[in-house]
Amino acid sequence: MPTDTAVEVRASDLAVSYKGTFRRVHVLRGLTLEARPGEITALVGPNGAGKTTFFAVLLGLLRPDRGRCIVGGMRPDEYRRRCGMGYLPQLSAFPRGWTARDVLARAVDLSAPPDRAAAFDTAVERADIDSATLSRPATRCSGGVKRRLGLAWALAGDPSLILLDEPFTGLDPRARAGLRREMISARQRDATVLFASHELAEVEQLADRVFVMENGLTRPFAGAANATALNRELLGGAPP
Amino acid sequence: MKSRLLPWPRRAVLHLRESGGALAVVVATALLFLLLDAASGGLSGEGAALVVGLGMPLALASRGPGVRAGIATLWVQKPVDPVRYYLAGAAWDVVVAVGATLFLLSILGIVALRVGLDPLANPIWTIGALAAVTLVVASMASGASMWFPRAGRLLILAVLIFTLYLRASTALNPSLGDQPWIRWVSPVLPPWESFVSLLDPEALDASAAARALMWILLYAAAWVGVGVLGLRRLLANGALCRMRSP
Repeated sequence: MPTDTAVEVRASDLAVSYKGTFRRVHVLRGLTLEARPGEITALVGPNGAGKTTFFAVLLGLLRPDRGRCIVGGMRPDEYRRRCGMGYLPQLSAFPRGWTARDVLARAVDLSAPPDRAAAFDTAVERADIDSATLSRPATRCSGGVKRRLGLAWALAGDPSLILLDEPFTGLDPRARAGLRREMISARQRDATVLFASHELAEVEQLADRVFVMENGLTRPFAGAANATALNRELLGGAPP
Repeated sequence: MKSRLLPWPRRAVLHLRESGGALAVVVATALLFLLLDAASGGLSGEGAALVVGLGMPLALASRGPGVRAGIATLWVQKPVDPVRYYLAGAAWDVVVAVGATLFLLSILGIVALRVGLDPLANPIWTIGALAAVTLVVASMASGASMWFPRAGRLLILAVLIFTLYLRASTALNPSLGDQPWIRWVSPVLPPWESFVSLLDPEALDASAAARALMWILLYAAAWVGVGVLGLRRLLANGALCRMRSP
């Protein structure tokens, strides 16, 4: 399983639309973006800009109407089937009746790492939960614990491509620090990390490259990615 | 094969837990039928057997709601082929449903004996026939739930009730079976005649039993195919990533 290879993400002129009730809803209108291995790429933009839809295209769950998307030299769905990805959605849902331990064990089983016991210990460490919480049903855990479980699920097996959708939402300062550490550690092992966030301070601290998404289009953020400049960009909305 | 952290007995327990509410309804209804049968001087408690045979697979084999509720995003990110994953899941549904049905029936059989019924007096308690019914109903529930995640179970229950009604009606009035719409609709309904022939395997010759079994397997496979088509549709239109609140 080629999970240790560096993965480049290239999207050019991507257009995606959904069938709405009365008309087609155009979500992406020509998105162009590149994310490189060993870098953290941030996507910022207003709600409804198409960040989650773009992640769906990268996961191979949504076929674009137009444009090209290549992940590690393959079609996204082909890459996902062969190598897997780490994806943290905005909402993490878990099967009813499963304890946190069951969730983490299943994540490790599905990722099939060489040493499952060690991978399970790493997953517990990433989720940062005590043994009492491990035995609780995942659906009854607090929002923050669910978020951390979702993150541990995404990172199980150390995927080379990591997609995080609003990863800092609902996390306390300790969990935020843990997440930052994980993202930096992924960058150090040459993984490609893409995250969408409204937390501009986190973007400033972590991102090597920033893309601004608006109305289904992207533009690279040219200046130094500090929170004040990003905030001005998002509020001012210079045309792409 | 490397040992799994979540071994199959634990996965079976989790599977039962996921459908805890629906299972409780099935068990309560079956017990009610059994007690009513005993109170009204019934003989074998066949109503309870029917409730379990139809209800257990309906409760246990329903992948659609979980897939649509966002749980799919957990597994679609891992290096697994969605269709193969669905097929393995459907097979797992059937195995758990058949195992749980037979387990519950054996307990109900003991309860039936305790309340004065004689379950062995009615061939509906035949293990082979009940396993076949469970296989078919589980496949139907699994396939339908990929198209109708909320109403899939109710839809299949309606189809099963309609099948039983049609069978009873044609038994009373055989000319009804010659009506064009019944001839047209019969092939898509569950193969009840094949189940009935399995109730008394000694009365069948080997080739007729093999034909009945083959028809049951083909019918179940067709419904699994319907589920695969439903999954492909969800994958093609991006529905797997449009999350519902968990």
